[in-house]
Amino acid sequence: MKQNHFAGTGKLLKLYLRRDRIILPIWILLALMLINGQVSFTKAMPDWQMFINELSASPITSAILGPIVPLSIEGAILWRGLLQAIITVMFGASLTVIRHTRTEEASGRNELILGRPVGRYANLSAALILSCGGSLLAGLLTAVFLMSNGFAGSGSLLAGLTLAASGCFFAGIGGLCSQIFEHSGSARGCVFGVYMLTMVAMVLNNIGGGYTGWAWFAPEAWFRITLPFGGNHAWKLLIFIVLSALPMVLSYMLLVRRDMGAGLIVRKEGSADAPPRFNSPMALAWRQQKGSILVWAIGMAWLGGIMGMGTPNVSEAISSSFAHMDTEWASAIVKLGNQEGFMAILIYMLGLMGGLSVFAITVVQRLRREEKEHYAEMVLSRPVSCSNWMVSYLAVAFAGSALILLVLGLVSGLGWSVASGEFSHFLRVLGMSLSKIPPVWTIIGIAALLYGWIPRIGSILNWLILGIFIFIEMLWEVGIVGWSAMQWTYFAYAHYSIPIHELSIVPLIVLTVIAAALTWLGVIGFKRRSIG
Amino acid sequence: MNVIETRKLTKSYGKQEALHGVDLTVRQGEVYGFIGPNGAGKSTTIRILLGMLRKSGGDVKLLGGDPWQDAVALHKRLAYVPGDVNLWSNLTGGEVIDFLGRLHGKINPARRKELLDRFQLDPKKKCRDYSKGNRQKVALISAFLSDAELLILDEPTSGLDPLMELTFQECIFEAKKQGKTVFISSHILAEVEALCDRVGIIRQGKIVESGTLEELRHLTRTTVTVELAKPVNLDQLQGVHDISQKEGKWRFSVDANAMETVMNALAPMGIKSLTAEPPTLEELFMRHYGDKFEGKELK
Repeated sequence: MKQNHFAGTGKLLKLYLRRDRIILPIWILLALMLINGQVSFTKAMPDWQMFINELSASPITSAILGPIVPLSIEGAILWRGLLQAIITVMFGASLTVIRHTRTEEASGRNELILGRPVGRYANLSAALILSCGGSLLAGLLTAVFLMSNGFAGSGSLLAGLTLAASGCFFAGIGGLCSQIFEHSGSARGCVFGVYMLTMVAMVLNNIGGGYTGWAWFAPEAWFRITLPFGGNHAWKLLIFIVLSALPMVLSYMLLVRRDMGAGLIVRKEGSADAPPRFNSPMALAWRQQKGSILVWAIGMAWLGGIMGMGTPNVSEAISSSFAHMDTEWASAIVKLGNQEGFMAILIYMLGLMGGLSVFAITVVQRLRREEKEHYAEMVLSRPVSCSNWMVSYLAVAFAGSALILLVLGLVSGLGWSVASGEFSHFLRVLGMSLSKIPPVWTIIGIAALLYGWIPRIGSILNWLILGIFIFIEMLWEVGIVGWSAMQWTYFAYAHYSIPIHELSIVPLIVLTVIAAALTWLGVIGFKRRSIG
Repeated sequence: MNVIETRKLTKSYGKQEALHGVDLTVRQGEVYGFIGPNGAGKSTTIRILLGMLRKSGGDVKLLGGDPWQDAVALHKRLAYVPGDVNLWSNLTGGEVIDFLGRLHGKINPARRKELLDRFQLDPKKKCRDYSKGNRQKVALISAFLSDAELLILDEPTSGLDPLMELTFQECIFEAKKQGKTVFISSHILAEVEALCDRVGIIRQGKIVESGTLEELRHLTRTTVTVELAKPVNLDQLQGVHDISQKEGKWRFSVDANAMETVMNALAPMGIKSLTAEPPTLEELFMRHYGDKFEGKELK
C-alpha cells in the first residue's frame, strides 16, 4: 500500500519541469554566472596572488566573507563566487519547492490534481526531486565549468557536489516551511528567516577563523567543511546528505498529519468590524505593509545587533601590505580602521546595497501585485483617485524604509557601544544608517517611475538596475573602475568608504529631491495609463 | 436623463480590437441587462465606464461626466461589483465592507447588519478563507450598503447559490424602488429576464440588439404548436420556419410580422388546439450566437 502514496510522482515531475522551463534554468545559470564572474575577475587580475594575500590578511574581509581557503586562485573563487552561487541555489531550490507545493495548495489548483489517482506524497516528492535535481545539475555544471578552466578534477567535483548538497538541504527547508504555513508568502518568509539564521552562523564562523562548528549551521559555508582544492574531505558529503534528508523526512511526517490546504498554525478568526481609522488608501497600504516592515525591522535589528556585538572582536591590526594596495577601496578601509570599516560595510550592505534596496523594490512592486490581483480595482472604483492610491503605498514605503534604517542604526550602534563600552560609536553608527535614507528613497522613486509608466517590464528592469549598480560596486572594490563610475549610482552618496563625519549633506538633499521628482513622474504615468 | 451613454465606443489593445463601436443608452431608474458570452467585451465596456481603461475612440458619458476625467467625482455616485471578486486575503469580510464603505463616507450600521443577515455572511472570516460566492457577497453587500445612485454589477451572481440569488434579486428590486439605476452584465439569462427592464446584447464588441424584452421579442419569431382538422401545406406560407410534425401536431416558428397572415391561413383548417410561445431570452440570444461562425465568415 505504501508505494501508492507516491503514485503519479513522475507525471507531476513532468508537469513541474514544463512549468519551470524558464525559472529552473535561470537559477541554475545564475549560480554558474556568479562563479564565472569571480573566475574571470580573479584571472583578469595581474597580481591576483598579492591581492589574495592581502585580502586574506585583512581582518575585515575575513569577518564578512571569511578567510580564503585554500590560499590560491581556486580558494579565491570559492571564497566569493561559490558562496554566492550556493546562496542562489539555496533560494532557487527552496522557493521551487514552495512554488509547487504550498502555492499550488493555497490557490486550490492542487485539488485538480489530487482529485486524480495521485498519491498523497506525489506532489511533495516531485517538487523535492525537481529542486534536488536542479541543485545537482547546478553542482555538476559548476564542476564541469571549473574543470574546463583548468582546475583540479577532484576539487572541482567536490565544490560542485557541496553546492548541490547545500541546495538539497534548503529544498528540504522549503518543504518543511510549506508544511508549517498555510500561505506561500509566509512559507517564503520562513525560508528567508532560516537563511538569516544561517547567515549569522556563517559570520560567527568567519569571525572565529573559518573552522568553527558554526559552519555546520550555515549551508552556504559548507565548502569550508569539505574544503575543495584543499583538504578535499569528500566523505563529509555523506553527513550533508543525512542532514538534508532530515527536513525532508520531517516534511513527509507533517504532510500526513495535516488537512489539505491547512497549515500547522491554526487559522484565526478576525474582527467583524474594521477599526474606525481604517478608512483610507493610506490606512490600507499601512495595513498591508506593516507586517513586512516589522519583519524587516526585526531582521535588521537581529543581524545588526549581533554583528555590532561582534565588532570589537574584529582585530584592529592592519596588515602591512594592505596599506600598500593601490585600490581606493583599500585606502578607504585603512582610513576608517577595521572596526569602523566593518560596521560601515555592514550598515551599507544591510541598509542599502543588499537589504533595503530589496525591501524598497519589493514594497513598490506590491503596487503591481495589488493591480494584477484586481485588489486595486476594488479601491479605484470608489471615490479614490489613482494618485491618492499610488502615493499612499509609496508613502508607506518611504516611511517604512526610514523606520527600518532607524532601527538598524539604533540596534547596531547599541550593540557595538555596549560590547566595547564606548558610547561614542552609537551616534556615528546611527548616522551611517540614517544617511542611507535618501539613496533608499531614490530606489523607491526609480521603482515608482517604472511602475507608473511600464508596469509589465518595470519589475524586471528594477532588479536589473540594482544588479548593474551592485556590479559597478564590485568593479570599484577591485579597482577596475574609478570613483567617477560609482557616482552614477545612488550608492556613492552614502558610501561606507566615506567616514560618516565627512559625508556631505548636499548630495543627500539632492537625492531626496530626485526621489521626489521620480515619484511624481511615476504618479503622472500611472494616472495616464489603464489599470489592470 | 441618460445615466450611461456611449456612442461608437471603441477599444483596441494594439492590433486587436476589443470593442468595435458600442452604443449603449441606460436611462435613469431602469435596470439594464448587458448580456453576451465570455469575451464579447462586457467587462471591457464596464472598465471603460469606470475610468480604469482608456477608450480608444467614440464618446462615453456616465452620470453626465467623463468617466476618465471625472473618475473620483463620479465614483462617489456609483457602486461597482467586479465579476471576479478578489479581496485582500489578510482582511476579514467585515473589515473590507467597512473599509470600502468608508471610502464613500459613512456607513449605516443597521443596514450593514441587515445585509449581513440577508446574505448570511460571516464577517469574521478572512477573505482568503471565503469561497468565490462568499467573496461576491462581500462585494454585493458593500455595493448595496452605499447610497450610490448607480450600481454597476459585472456578472454579480456567478458564484451565488439559488437562495442568495433570490436575495440578490430582492435587493435589486429595492434599489429600483429607491430610484437607483442598475447596470448588470450577465450571461444568466433567466436572471436578466427576471430583473431587467431593458436589455442590450453584445457580440464581438458590438451591440447587436437592444431594447425592452417586449421589443426584442417582437423582432423574433414566436413558436406555434397547432393541431388541425384538415391537412395543410405550411411551406407555402410566408414567414413560417422550422416546420415539424409530431403526433399529428404541427410545430413551427413564425416571424412577428407574418403572424396575422399565418393565423388567417390556419383559421379555416379547423384548429383543435393551439399554443403560441413567445421567444425566451435564450432564443433571442441564440439567434445572435447560435450561428457562431457566421460573423467570422463575413469578415
